Amino acid sequence: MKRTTLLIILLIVAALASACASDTPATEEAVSSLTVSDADSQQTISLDALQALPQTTANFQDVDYVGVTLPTLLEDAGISLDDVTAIKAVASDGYSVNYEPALYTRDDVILAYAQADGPMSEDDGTLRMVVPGERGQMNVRMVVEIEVVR
Amino acid sequence: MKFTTRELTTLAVFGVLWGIVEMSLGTVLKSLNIPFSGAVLASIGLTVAMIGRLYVPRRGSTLFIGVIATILKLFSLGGIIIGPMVGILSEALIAELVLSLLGQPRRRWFVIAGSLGVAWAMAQPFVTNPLLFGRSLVSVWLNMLDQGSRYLGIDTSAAWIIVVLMIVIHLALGTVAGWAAWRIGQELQSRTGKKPTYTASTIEQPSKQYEG
Repeated sequence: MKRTTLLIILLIVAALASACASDTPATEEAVSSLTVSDADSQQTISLDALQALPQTTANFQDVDYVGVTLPTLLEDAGISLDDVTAIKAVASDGYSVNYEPALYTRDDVILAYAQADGPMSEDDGTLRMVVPGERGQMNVRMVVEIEVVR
Repeated sequence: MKFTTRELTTLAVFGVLWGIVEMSLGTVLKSLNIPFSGAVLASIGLTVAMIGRLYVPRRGSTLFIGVIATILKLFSLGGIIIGPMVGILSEALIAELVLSLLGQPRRRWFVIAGSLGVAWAMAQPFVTNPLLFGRSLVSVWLNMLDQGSRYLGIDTSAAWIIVVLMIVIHLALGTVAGWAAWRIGQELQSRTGKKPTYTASTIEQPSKQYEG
């Protein structure tokens, strides 16, 4: 009887875990645009438009990346940075990280679209966050959306 | 309290077991982005640690097991990860405090120790991220909500529902850990010919259990 109880508990835990599992696999599919959203607005910025913005370089794990700072991106999109609690980078697999003002206002924190010596790697995806000196989990890969959290 | 060499060896074995789980399964779960991987790891680790506690039922034994596991985590794939190391040590410390402060081991104390230890996995970012990584509490809170929203499929606007569900899941996993540790520990001791350290009857009638 006790073994049956243990088995049932394990099955319930396994079922819960599988129910919680994301059904969106982590893929590195190419994207041609970025969604930028605020509390009440959402717009799409093409990769070309992104690359036309003032460039900044940043280094993460010995790789130099080229991209734009988040304030530059948001100001170009006409989004005010007043009263912003955080800026969230969302990946294609649903993973996200919220960057507080002390982080996203840094000059070397960028949304990268290329490596300094060529295109992005397949693992990075089309766009990725580069936050020098931070842990890997803060450097979101495969970014598809930038959301302003107020 | 001084441990005998035999006790230290036993504790080291359980510490190594926990450490191996963290190094192997931990890396896999994190890589696969398995939901609640921290809680799952904590519950498995605490199960091992509390089984060790049954084998060496002395104050400090659970913490000692945690220290060994923490040291092993130094050799984890992907380099030194300070967060998980602090996590292992904290979980062991919480379990140790509960088991030491509540007196003679009982199944319910194991369940409480497991629950609180696993629940720490949820609370830890609020302590370590600001202290170790300079993150603000607001960003930690937002990240936790996003993670809960993704795992549970609930919009972040229902923040308190997400938080309550996450707490319940952590406590449930911890409960399973405590219960399993007690059950497996007793079973192991019985099968390996070691006199069970504590049984229900030991607690009810401690003086009569092993008479004769």
